[in-house]
Amino acid sequence: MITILGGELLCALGDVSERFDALRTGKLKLGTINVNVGGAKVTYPYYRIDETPRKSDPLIVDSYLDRVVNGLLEKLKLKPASLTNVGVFLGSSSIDYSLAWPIEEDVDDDFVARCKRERVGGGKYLESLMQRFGFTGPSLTFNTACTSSANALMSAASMLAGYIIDYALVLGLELYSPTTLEGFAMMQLLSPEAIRPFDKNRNGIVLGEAVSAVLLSREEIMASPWRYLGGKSSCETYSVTSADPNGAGVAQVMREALEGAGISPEAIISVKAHGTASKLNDQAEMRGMEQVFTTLPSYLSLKPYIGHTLGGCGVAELLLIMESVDAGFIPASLNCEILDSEFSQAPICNLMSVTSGRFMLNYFGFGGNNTSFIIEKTAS
Amino acid sequence: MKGSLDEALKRRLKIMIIEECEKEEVTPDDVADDVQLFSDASGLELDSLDALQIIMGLQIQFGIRLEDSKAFRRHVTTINELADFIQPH
Amino acid sequence: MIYIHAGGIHNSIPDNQLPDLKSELKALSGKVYRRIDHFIQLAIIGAHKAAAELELAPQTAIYMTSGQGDIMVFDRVRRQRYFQKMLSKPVDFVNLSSNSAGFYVATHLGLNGKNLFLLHHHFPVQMTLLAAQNELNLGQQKAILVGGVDEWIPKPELAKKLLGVDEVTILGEGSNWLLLKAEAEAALATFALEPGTLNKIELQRLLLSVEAGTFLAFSSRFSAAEVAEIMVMNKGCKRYHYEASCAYYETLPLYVLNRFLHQEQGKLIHLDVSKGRYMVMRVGNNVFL
Repeated sequence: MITILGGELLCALGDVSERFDALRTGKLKLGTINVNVGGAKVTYPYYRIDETPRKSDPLIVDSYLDRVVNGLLEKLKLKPASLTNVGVFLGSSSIDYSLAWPIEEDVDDDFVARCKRERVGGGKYLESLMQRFGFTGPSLTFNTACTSSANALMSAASMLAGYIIDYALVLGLELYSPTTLEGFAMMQLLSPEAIRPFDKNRNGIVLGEAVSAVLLSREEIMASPWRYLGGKSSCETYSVTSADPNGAGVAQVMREALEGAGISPEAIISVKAHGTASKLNDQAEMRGMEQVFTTLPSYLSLKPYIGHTLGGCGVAELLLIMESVDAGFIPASLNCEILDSEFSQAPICNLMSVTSGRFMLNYFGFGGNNTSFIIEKTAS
Repeated sequence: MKGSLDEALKRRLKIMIIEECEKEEVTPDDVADDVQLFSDASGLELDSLDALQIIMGLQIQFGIRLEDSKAFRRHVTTINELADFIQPH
Repeated sequence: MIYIHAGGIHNSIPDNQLPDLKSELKALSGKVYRRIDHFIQLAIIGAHKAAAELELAPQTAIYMTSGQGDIMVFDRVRRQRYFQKMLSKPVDFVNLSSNSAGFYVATHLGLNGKNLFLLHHHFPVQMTLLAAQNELNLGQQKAILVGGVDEWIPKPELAKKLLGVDEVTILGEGSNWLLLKAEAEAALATFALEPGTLNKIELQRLLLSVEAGTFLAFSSRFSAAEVAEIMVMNKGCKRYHYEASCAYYETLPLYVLNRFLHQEQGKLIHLDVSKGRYMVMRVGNNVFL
């Protein structure tokens, strides 16, 4: 049995007590950001971790990753050296940060001469993190758009199940990236005011930052009331930018996740939807859930709390669910004032008392990436 | 000159659309001036990503800024309309 | 134990000019896709050579790896942003923010299984194969297409610095694929990867147990002196030479395995090294004779 031992999260909600308050009361900290859209400065809502000025500087990324790993180790009262045979897995939609830096510096003809002869690439952040903490086991960096860290977690669980490793440290990384913000703005996918998952008047996503770490193991090595039961990831080739709005691909991946976890749809207490508040995502997701569940379980989107944290949302949203249930509840799904008339059931509108049970977590992204996995908290 | 009467402008627009949407099998002559570009009748089979590519092409090659791709697809539906939009007089 | 059921090689040494892969893909498959750049064309060509003739189960997974991925588009988008003050094109943005190459390979081959784009700083091929081997052994996947894709970029001096290789290195490009399954029936060869990295002593201990006549292939990261040293200590092994047929790219190990299976009969041990740690892969295609 794969156990989830705990995690640490940096997101717009602040530290753990602030997060708890926000998830309980629905009070948010939504900031703004100026985005250069073809020469014009447009202000969009944005969820940021803090006000530190950001550059695509590798050292800044390293410092955030260190904070979550150190925070996690402290919380679990572990030292890096006590994680024997640990694998490290990172998911991010922006693995090219480390390339961004030298190329952004490429402002004159001398650049090639000045540039250090040193390998950069998508595996760089994990490599330097492993060196700093002295980890020597297997590692992999995942780049599968908004499912990146969810897929990293699934592969980590497989490596634990295969006895390749005894601990798995899984990281989700998404920090300010001007290219990403401008890209989403240019594609007209950003909401100008708020993220309203499943609302009739939803008008796009609001981006956010999240850096997170979660530690997994096996029951016989370190027990935990939280367990990973199984999951499924697939590629739906309907369109490179969205799941089929008829919900067929989304339904398929949820069904197979349930099968992989060995449980029936009725066993699910709540579904953490992807809930990006883009017209097509929410439609595909709702139709998918309607096909899988005879009676819809309660469901919610966490994106109104921390924004769409892209490749980082896999681990970040997992941790928000675990923290809430540990505190005895599932938070309300905010900002759905008028349910889309095509949808048969509204998301959770008041926080719900929950202390244990099985939860389905769904993630969908560009590139046809659909991922669904099931976790469980056993009753104490 | 009103855009829809400017043959050279319309040809440039068609070439831009073919390039932006990578429709190499289509020639500018295949695109009628008055057919709805985003309809089945145009034979171009364009989707929402194509609309965004065309908006970028308009911005880069014609200096035209369009904020909303849906409004663009509703209002600027044919080569004639697009040409008049760029060159109203 | 897992098994190799098919392989495909695309390997070239561009002569200061970016190869026209669009025409090559069309000639090979008759297909023209919109919205795909050089890297994605490269990915499809290799995967096509490995699997287009086979009847793959639709759930077949795709695990793709690369040294630096779609670096040409990345460079173009950055340049547009910082020098021309322009937004990236929607198609470039979508391709950069996701594993689009895997999406188009899946589209080309009619697959809907798990689709990953994986990276590792030292051993992209081996770590990707580790994930694949494990999930096949667990029965979580029935078949996985593992591909290594690296493109040549028309800025070789910069590319060499960003790759951390010396100036005399010649850069190539490649897209090399293996179809792996847990089932032995109708397989071409066996495959086994040592799951961990080894130090020099552990490596030598492993090589001592190797049967005579086994081929040894060395990645381009080995110095000539170290290759000579290992060959002297393991006189029963034969060196597998592939170096003359390719230039440097980071996913070369997948080319080496494919080339061996295509050209030789026997057992091959592929050795790779980075910062004093070694990784070992074994293939054998004489076990079915």
